[in-house]
Amino acid sequence: MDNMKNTDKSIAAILSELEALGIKNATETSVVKFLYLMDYANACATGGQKFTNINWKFESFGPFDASIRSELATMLSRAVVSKAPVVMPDREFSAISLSKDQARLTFEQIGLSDSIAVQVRGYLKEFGRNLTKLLNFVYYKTEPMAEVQPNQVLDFTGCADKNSFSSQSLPKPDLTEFHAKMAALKAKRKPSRAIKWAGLYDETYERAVAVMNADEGFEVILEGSAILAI
Amino acid sequence: MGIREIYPTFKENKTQGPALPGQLFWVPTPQIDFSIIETKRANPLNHSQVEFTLADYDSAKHYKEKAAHLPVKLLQIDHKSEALLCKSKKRPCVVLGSASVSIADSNASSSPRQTRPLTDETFLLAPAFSANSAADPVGPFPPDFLTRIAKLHYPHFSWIPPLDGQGPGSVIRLDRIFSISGKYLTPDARCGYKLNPDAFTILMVQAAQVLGVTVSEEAIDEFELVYEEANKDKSVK
Repeated sequence: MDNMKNTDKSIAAILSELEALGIKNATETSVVKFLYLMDYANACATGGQKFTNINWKFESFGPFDASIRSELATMLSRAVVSKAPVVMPDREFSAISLSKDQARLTFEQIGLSDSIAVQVRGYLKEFGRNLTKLLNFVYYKTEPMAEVQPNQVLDFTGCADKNSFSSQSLPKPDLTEFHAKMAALKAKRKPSRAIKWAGLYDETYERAVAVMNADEGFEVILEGSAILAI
Repeated sequence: MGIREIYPTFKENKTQGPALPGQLFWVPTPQIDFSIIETKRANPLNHSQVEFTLADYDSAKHYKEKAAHLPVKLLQIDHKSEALLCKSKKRPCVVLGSASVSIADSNASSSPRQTRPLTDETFLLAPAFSANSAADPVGPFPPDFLTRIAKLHYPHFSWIPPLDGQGPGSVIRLDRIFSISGKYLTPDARCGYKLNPDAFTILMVQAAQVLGVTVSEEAIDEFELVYEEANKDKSVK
């Protein structure tokens, strides 16, 4: 499967699966992020292997590659997908959907393993209706985005399999001897000898505490705007 | 041995080397009250322009999902994080201890990103606050209160002589113990003073009381000896 074919099928599967979940109004941003999460989930399960051949870079403050935008443009020109304006009370955007005459694809049909398909489907369910949560997860919870600098290529080799460790798999030793030894040590433990502190908590003390506390915090309301620079 | 007699070698000329327990450094010391810097994108399509408001901490609002706000990647603040703003002053701070895991000690991971936080040395510090003086007469430590502290009447306050030999000295506040990265304990931050072992033992007995941990009988014996000497003059209450 070459890169473009792989990418267009992946986009089609994402849109199909979102549709199956009753999630409409996918945007270019959310489709790009779900493509990234598809690669991320695959990398986590396979020790760093992405599903697509997309050359993910840290661009426009997120994972991106210009080939995705050109692939989407191609899919639009071929009427594989369509865009429709959506007007919400607080914003306007273009929703992307799979055209009616296109075959619906599942993640398994495009070659994702069953377990990875379940994982990506979970991302769609959790984040499909909440772009803020999706961006928070992508930006802050995925290893390739953790320390990447602008325009750097994302490294998927450090993705960890989140399911490889289970506390249930730890050995359960016989702790009888341990508990007995600990009880014996506790029985021998002596508390520190009590020190009788002579300090008075009187007016002198209260005056001092009042002065100590007087300078804490900010008394004013402060608001403004800022330009962040890298 | 009284409280003044445990500082015979208070001054030191050390300018290099690792920060050691008992040494004093000038360190930015945060106050304990803070404000939350609420931040959101000024424009949904722009990560670089943000609007901010300073707000009092609200447990019902902060450290929760910011549903209406798109994340600002440049600030690295996710829905479980907030930016805080607090006032601070540079104060002489006594090093109480440190914790670190060197690369040699850590074979858990070969990833630089995973080992780096473990290799940064973190120091536990107790800040010193100036006692009231002619130059600063309205602070929290007037002479009568300072006398009590110098006589070891409180577990969470400890007196030290003036660093420059002038004035009434300072109060180490064990109710304000805080931790800080070792990168702030630079050579130029050294005060040039170090509590000698006797003074440090007294301070650690007090710190143990504040923290509720056990100290040796011998250390408490030393504390009580100094306490008795410091309180022989019964005229001061």
